[in-house]
Amino acid sequence: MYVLMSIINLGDFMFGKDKKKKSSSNNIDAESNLSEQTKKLRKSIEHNIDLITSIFSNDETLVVRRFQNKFLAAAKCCIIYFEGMIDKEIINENIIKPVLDNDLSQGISVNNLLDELQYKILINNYIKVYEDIDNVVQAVISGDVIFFLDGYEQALVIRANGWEKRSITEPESEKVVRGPREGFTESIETNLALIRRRLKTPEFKTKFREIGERTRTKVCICYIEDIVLKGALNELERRLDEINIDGIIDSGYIQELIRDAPFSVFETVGYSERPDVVAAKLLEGRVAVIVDGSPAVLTVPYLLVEATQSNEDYYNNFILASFNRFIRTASAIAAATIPAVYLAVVTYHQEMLPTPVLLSLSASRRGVPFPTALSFFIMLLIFDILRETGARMPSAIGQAINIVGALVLGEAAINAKLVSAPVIVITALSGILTLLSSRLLTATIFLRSYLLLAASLLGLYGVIFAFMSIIIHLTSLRSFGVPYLLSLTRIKDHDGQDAWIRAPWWTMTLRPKIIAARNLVRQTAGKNRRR
Amino acid sequence: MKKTIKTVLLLLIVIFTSFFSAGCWNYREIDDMTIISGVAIDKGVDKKYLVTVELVELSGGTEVEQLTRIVSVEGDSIFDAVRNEIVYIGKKAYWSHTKIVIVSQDIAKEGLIKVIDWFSRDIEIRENIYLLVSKGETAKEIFEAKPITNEVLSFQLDKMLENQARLEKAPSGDLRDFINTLRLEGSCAVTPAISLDNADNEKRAKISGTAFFKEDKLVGFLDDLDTQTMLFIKNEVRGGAIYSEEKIRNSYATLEIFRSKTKIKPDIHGNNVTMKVSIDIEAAINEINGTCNLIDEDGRKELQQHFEDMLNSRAAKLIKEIQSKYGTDIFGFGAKLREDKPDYWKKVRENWEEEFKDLKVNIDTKVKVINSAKLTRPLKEGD
Repeated sequence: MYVLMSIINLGDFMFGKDKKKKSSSNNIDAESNLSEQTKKLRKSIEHNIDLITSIFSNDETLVVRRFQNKFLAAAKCCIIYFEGMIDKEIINENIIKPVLDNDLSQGISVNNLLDELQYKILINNYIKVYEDIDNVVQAVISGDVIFFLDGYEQALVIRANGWEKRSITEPESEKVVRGPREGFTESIETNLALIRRRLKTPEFKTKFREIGERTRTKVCICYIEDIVLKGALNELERRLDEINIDGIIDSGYIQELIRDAPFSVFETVGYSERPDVVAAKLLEGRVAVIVDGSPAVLTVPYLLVEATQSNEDYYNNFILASFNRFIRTASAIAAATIPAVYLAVVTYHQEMLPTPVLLSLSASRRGVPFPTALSFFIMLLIFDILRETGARMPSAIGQAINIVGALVLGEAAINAKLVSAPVIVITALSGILTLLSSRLLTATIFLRSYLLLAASLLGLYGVIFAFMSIIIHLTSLRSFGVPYLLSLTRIKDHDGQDAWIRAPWWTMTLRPKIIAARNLVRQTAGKNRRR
Repeated sequence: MKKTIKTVLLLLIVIFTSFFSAGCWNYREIDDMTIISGVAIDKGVDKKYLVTVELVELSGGTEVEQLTRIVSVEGDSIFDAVRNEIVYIGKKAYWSHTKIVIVSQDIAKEGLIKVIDWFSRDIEIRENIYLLVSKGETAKEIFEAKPITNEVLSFQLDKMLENQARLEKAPSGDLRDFINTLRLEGSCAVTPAISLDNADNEKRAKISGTAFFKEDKLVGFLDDLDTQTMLFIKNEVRGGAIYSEEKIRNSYATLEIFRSKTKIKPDIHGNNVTMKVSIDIEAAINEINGTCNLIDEDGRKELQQHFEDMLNSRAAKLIKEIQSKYGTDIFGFGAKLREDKPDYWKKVRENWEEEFKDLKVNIDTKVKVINSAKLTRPLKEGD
């Protein structure tokens, strides 16, 4: 226990002060070369155009299009937008064409031309009037169109954005045999729509904010008002408000910035690329954070049990689901402990082996020069190198890597007497089990080495010692105030229904406790309820 | 800051102390050990003991070959001899997988306690290792035998003793059983006996019969049949076969034992005690060397009667012989008396050896034939 805890403490001690320094140094001085006086919009359209172009000087994708009404010469207009960010169709048909073609000299109050245009001429679902130059600049960056009319201090901001979007596909990382195939995309609006389509209740709430001084990334907190764990929601908002960073490129940034126990190998913020998963978590009282530009939607609180849950568990029948979940849970534990236990038994507790096993293991080690412990560290490192290369390489080269890994490093290493065959077998087994529970990858890779080290120093005693320290660390963890081991430690309560096994749906009448404490009842026992 | 130092200190203390509290913490590679499979103990020429070990040597990479080496070393005590082996072998011997200890008659006659002390005391050696007495000149000669089913003789002997449940021609107790019997009042220890046979021009080791002790000193041997009878009386029969010595209605028959239960009941009349031994056997007819129908009701009755008489007379003969010749209570009658009639036992315990010689034993065997295997009648029937 002390090992992990002190690593964490040491980490806090070493990095804690730096963090505070960093947070105060991120002031951005954008558009600073313009004085306060010239930064205001004026009645002259030329002044306004100059103002915008000077702000975006040296940016050649800025398009300025001037046009005039056929019938009313006073209606001098101009639209400004960024190439590639807008839908040309909308601009041509719904902005330029109506303003050009309609007879503005008749039936229109010239004194209030801007309002008239907005209400009667322009065809668009989103038009806003801004006087402040900062808002206008922000709008054009976000892909909106600015509409200036000569003689008016205000600008219209018209939503005409249209850029290439990825279509909704099944996420590569979370494939299912049975279940919906929709996955989140990089667009926050699409993602929100995907969730809302599954939660048709007015209690579903969304709260937007922008994070990142330069990226101005849209972040949306969503939850179900009458179920959500209020404490976690408030804490999440507080932590999001504290983020002061120049850019958020992916939800991973936020995941790491808001998490509990920042130095732990266990994740305390979850994510999913699937709307069905996020919707189910919202129904259990969790909060989701959608980040624009990222298909991974964060969910909090995140508990250890969620690492072994799969959405398919809930769609398959409960017997298969329970069996699959048992395999996942057991394999996660086995992936971390198998090499250590093997090492301990083989190098410390040979008397525990049956005689035939001892003899065959002994024979397999004939002529191998390296100690078993060292060869384990080397082989596990090689396995992780192969795994990482496999993930980074283009798929064509990836196959070559597989062959090199499997043949050269496995078969040839045994023949060359560099490692013994059982070590390769155990490494491969542990490696495959690690990939089975991919959500615990960090934890298994780190803890495997930690247990292995303990085993090589103290044998089985060391393994037990190290395992206990892991358990103690886990029990001390909290995710947004919720105990990290919730539902895994108790099987008596209804919480255990969805942990080691997945109980039949008709018995899961209550939502997880603590998380959905305010509104526990998931289903009432109906007339047709089975027993 | 202070907290950090405290944590680090605590961490160091915990790690440091854990080195000392771990049971066996020496890291040793599995191939650095010399695995001892069996050991034989003889009298030494220069020193007290001659300890011969059989070690397993493995060779080859993918196809493993198990070879054995026999190394003999002398020493003034067992442990002395064992450690002297480093002189010859180089590596430290590993005793956790040792299966067999063979003791020569000379050593056994002098008393086994001083020999087996090290085997039960040393932490590496398991208590379920088998203790055998060699019927031949020396104990080490057994290792000259060529094993048949296993490359390593000791492992083969281990299997032979484990499978005694289907044979019951040697007792199959291990070292722990032996020591427990030594401790027990009113009971004498037995071990399996081992001898060397010449078969097909090769020397073969053969476990059969019993070596029995008075206290820890060897006094004699029993042959196969007597061993089986002894095991019947001791309620240690789990299987095996009984063969009719004489013809029953012109045929010989062999029974396979399925269940055997023996109850010993001491019966006290005044100053005399009679041990009532009732043996209950459930068996099946497994072989009939003849044409007579021994399966129908009459035949079966006759068959059962025959076997009952045979076993009764065998047991009576064996008990008489042990009583008159050796006077060692290998059947554990004394122990039974101590359990059931402690008051009487207190009177006789001092003089149990003499009392045992005159002990009256009533034997009542019941044989129940439960089936006749696949055939329900003799191969040839009628005329």
